[in-house]
Amino acid sequence: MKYFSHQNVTSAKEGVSCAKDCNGKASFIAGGTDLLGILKDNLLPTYPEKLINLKTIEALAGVENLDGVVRIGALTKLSALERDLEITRNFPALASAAASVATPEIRNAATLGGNLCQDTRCWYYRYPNHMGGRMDCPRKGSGPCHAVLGDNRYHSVVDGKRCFAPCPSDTAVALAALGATVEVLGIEGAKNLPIEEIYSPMGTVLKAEEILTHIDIPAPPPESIQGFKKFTVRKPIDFAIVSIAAKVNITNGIVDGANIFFGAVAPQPYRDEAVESALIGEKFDTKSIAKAAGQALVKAKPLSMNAYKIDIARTLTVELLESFII
Amino acid sequence: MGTFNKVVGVDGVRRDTVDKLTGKERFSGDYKIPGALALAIARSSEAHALIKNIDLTKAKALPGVVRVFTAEDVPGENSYGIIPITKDQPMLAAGKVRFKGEAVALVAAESLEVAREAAALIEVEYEPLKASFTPEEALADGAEAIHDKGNLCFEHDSLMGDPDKAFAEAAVIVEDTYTTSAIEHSYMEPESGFAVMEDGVVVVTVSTQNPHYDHADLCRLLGLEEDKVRVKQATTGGGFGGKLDLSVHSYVALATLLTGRPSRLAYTREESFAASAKRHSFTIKYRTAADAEGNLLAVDAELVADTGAYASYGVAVAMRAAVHAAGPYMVPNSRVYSRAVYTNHVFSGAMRGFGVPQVALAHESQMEKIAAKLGMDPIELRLKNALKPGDKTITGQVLGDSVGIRECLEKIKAVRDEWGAAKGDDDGVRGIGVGAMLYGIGNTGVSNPSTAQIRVNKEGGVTLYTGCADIGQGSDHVLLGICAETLGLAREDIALVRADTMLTTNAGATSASRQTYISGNAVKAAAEMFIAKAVEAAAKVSGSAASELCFTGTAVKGPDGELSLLEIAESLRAEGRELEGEGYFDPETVPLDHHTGQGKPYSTYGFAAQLTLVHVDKATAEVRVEKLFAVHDIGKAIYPQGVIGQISGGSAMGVGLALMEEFDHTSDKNFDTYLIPTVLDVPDVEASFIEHAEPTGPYGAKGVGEPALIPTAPAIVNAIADAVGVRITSLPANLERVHSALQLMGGK
Repeated sequence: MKYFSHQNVTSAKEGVSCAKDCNGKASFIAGGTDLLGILKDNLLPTYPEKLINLKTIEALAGVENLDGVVRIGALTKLSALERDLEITRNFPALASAAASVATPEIRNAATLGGNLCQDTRCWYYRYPNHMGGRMDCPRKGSGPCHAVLGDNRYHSVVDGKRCFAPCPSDTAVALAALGATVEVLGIEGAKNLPIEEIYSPMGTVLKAEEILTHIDIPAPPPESIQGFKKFTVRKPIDFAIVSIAAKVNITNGIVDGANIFFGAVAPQPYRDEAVESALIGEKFDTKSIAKAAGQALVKAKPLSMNAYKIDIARTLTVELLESFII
Repeated sequence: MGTFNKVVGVDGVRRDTVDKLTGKERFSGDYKIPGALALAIARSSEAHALIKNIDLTKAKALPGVVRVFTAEDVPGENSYGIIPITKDQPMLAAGKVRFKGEAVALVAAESLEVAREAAALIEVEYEPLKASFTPEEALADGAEAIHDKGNLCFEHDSLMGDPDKAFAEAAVIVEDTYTTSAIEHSYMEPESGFAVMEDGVVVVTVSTQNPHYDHADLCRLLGLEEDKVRVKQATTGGGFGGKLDLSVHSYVALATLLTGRPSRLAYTREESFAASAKRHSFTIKYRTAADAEGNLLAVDAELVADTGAYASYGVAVAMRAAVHAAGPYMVPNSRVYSRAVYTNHVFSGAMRGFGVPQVALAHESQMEKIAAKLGMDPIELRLKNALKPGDKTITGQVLGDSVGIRECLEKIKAVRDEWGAAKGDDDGVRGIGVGAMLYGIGNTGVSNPSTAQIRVNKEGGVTLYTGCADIGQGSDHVLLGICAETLGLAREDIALVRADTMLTTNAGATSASRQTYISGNAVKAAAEMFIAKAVEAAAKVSGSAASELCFTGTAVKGPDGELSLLEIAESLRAEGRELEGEGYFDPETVPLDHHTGQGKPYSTYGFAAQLTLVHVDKATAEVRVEKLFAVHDIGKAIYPQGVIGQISGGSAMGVGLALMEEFDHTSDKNFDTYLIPTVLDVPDVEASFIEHAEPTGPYGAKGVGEPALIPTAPAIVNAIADAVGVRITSLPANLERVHSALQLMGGK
C-alpha cells in the first residue's frame, strides 16, 4: 500500500470542505473494511493522497426516533443495527440484512454508510495490480467490461449498462423495501434521495466531496409485514448471489401494498413491479405467492452464465413471502 | 524390549497446541530480523511470451532500492523441481515466461513499500506466443511448444490381463467421462521465509514440507556446496502439498547471498494464488466391465492431467492416479493410460491425495452405475469386489495382511441402513451416497527412505533428531510418541530437534501420507538401536550379562545397581564412540515396468469408506451436506485424536472439492471469489477408524493424511444422484452445474 496522509474531521461539513480542498485526491474512510482492501490491491488508476476519517464525527453514529421517522447515522456499525431494539422491533428486514453481512469481525468495524457506498465486487474490477497489472474497465475510465464475454455468473441480470456489476449491499435492499431515503451533504448543502437512486450502473452517484450522512426510514404501518432473505453459496461471509427484501401490507387478508426489491441482480436494489402488482389486490396465500413469484425478474436479460439467478429469485420470493403467512 | 503401551494409542493434548493457541509459537513472519531487506517480485503479465528486454532503470533509480535481480544474477543452474527427471522451472524467468504471474525479476529494498513500488516500475518487453490453456490445445498440431521437449510432460501405461477380451465377454459395461477442477491449497499461512548469512553459510528459515529437498535445490540454484546452505523449517501453517515446491526460499537465499544482508519475503495471498502449485485438473475417460453377478471384470481408463507451465510433481501425480485408477477393488484385467500435459496455467503440483481424489470420482461413480444397471445394492456390489489380503492390485502387487476395506464398508452399511430408515421414502430431496478408496503409503515405486537419530543430551536425557517437517498435521507428536513408547518414556522426557539440514538427516518429504509409517519406523529403529547400544555398553562397564540388564529410559538397571545414560555415554566416549541410535527405513517397493505399469509401488495401503447424507434444494440447486460418516483403516492410531482430526479436516476439504472449489486461472486471486467451505458449510463429521495392524508399520501404523479427503467427493456426488437422480460428472458440483443438470432432467 502506498503512503497517504490521514485527517480526522469532527463534522460532516468539515469533511466536505476538506475533500473539496483536496480536489478529488482524497477518499473518505469510515470502517475501512472495503477501502483498505482496495488500496492494498491498488485496484484503481488513481490513488488517494489523503484519507479523511469520518469515524471522529460523533453526531453521525446511532439510531434515533424522530416522530414517525427513524434516523440512522451513517457511521452506525452493522453490528449495532443487528442488536438495536428500535431496529429489530420495527425494521426486522434491516436487522436481518445487517446480520447477513460478512462475519462478526467485519460487522464490528463496518458502518451502514460504508455498506451502502462500498465499491463493486466484480472480480475483474477487483483484480489486484501486483499480479500482472490491474484490469481496466468502463468503471475505471477505460477498457471493455470483461464480464460480458467472461465469467459473469455473479453479475447483473437486469439494468446493467456498460458495467454489469450488481450492487453488493445487503442493507440497501432492505432499506429500499422499507422506503428509506438518504441525506447527502455536498458543497451546495444537503439533499435527500430515495435509497435506490444513489446507485447507477457505474457506481454510486455521490461526488468525490459528498458524504452520505444519514438514512431516514418512515415508520411502517402497523399491519405491514417485512423481511429479508439472502442466498449465498456458503452460510457465512459471502456476498449475495440473490437477495430479496419485502414489505407487504395486508388489510382483511387482501394485499393493499407491496414493496419487493431484489439485491445482487442489478446495479441498484431492483424494484420488481411485476411481483408487486401480481400481489396487490389478491388474497395473501400460497397460491397468490406462487403466482407472483413466477413474475420475478421477468424483465431480466441475463448474461451468458447467470440465468440461474432468476430461478433463485423466484424461490426466495416464495420462501420469504410464505414466511409472512401467519 | 517389550511394548510398554503407555504412549501409543493414548490421547492427550498435543505438544504444540498450547503454544499455537496462545501465540507463543513463532512462524517465519513473526521473527524480528534487524536490517533485513524487503523483497518483492515482478511477475509476468503474459501467459506465454518471449522476453525481449527487461528495463530496470526506473526501478533501480527509486530511492531505497538496494539491488534488482534477474535470471542473469542466478549463480548456479537456474532450474529446479522435485522430480530429478523434470527440473524444468527457473526461479527467475530466463528469456521466456510460461504462465501469467511467473517471477521475472526480484527487487531488494529497504522497505516493503519501496520494493513493491520498484517491482511495478520494472518494464518488460514481451513477444507474445500462442498460449495453450487446456491439454487438448497443448497437444493439438501447431500448438506452440511450452518446453523444448514439447508439451507432453509425462505418460504412463499400465496393462494387466486381457481387458479387450473381458469387455467382449462382459454382461454390463458402463462408461463416462469425468472432469475435476484445479484447486488452491488455501493454507492459512502463505509462503514465507527469511535468510541470513552466518559464517559464510546462507541460512534459510522457511515455511516448508521438505527441508532436505529445499537444501539440495538451493545449492543447485546458488551454485554452492552443501555445507554453504542450511535450511531450517519454521513452524509451518499448513501445506497440503503446496509447500513441497520451492517458493520464497530461492529469492531470500539469492538476495542474502549476493548482498550479504538478511532478507525476508512473504507472498501476499494473491501471489500465493497466482504463483504456487495447484491441484491437477483431470479429464478421465473411464470404462468398466462386470459380469451379471456384479464381479468386476475389467477397467479401461484414460487420464489426462493439466500440469501447467512446469512439471513440479506432475510425473508423480499422473503415475499415482494410474496406479489407483481401479479403486479398492479386485479387477483382473485393466488398461490405464495416464498423461501429464504442459499448459500455460500456473504449475500444478502436489495436493493432498495426489491424483487419487480425481480418479476416485470416476471409479466410485462407475460402481454406482453398475449397481443401478444390475439392480444391486451399491455397498453390496463394493463388498463383493473389495480387495482382500492376498488379492492382486492392477499393478500385479499381491496385498499383505493389512487390508481393511471390507470392514470399512460393512461399518458404513450399518449406518447407511440407519440413516435410510430415518430419512423415510417420501423425501425426494435427501440422498445418501458412498465413497471408498485405497491409498498407497509413500512415494510410488521408488526408494523413499527416512532416517532418525537418538542421542544422549547434556542433561542426561535423550534427544530425537528427525528431518521430518511437522506442517501442522502433528508428526512431531506422533514421532515422539513412537520414540517414547519404544524407550519407555513419556513424550515430555524427550527433546526434539527437527527439520534442520545442519542438525538432522533426510526424512524425505512430508507428503504421500508417509511420515508416520516411514519416519515412524526410522524413529522406532533408532530407539531400538539406542537401547541395544546402551545395554551393551552397560554390560561391559558393569560386567553383567546383557540379559540381566534392563533399560529404564533414563538408565540401565542391573543386579548391582544402575548406570545413568550419562555414565554409559561417558564410557562409550572413552572408546571414541557415542551413545546414539540411528534408524533407517525404506519401504519395500518394486519400480513399475515402463510398458506394463506392473510392479510393487507401495509396501502398504490405507483404506477407507465414507457415507454422506445430502439435501438438494431442487429449485435453487443448493446442495448441503448434512451428515458425514467416515471409517478409515489406518493400521494403528499412534495418536487417536490426531487421526480423528485428520479425517475431519480432510472431509472438510473434500466438501470443498465436491461442491465449490474451482480455481479460475484468470479471475481467482483471493478468498473473495475462490470459495472454500467455512465451518458452517461442513457437517459434523463422525470420524472413526479400524486398526488392521500393518506388520511392517511402527506399532502397526500406516497413514491417514491424504486418505482422509479421498472418498468424500464421490460420496457427495453419489448422494446427489440418490437424492434427485442427476449424476454430476464434473467437479465441483456447484450451483451452476447442479442447476443445469436438474433443468436437463426436467426437460426444460
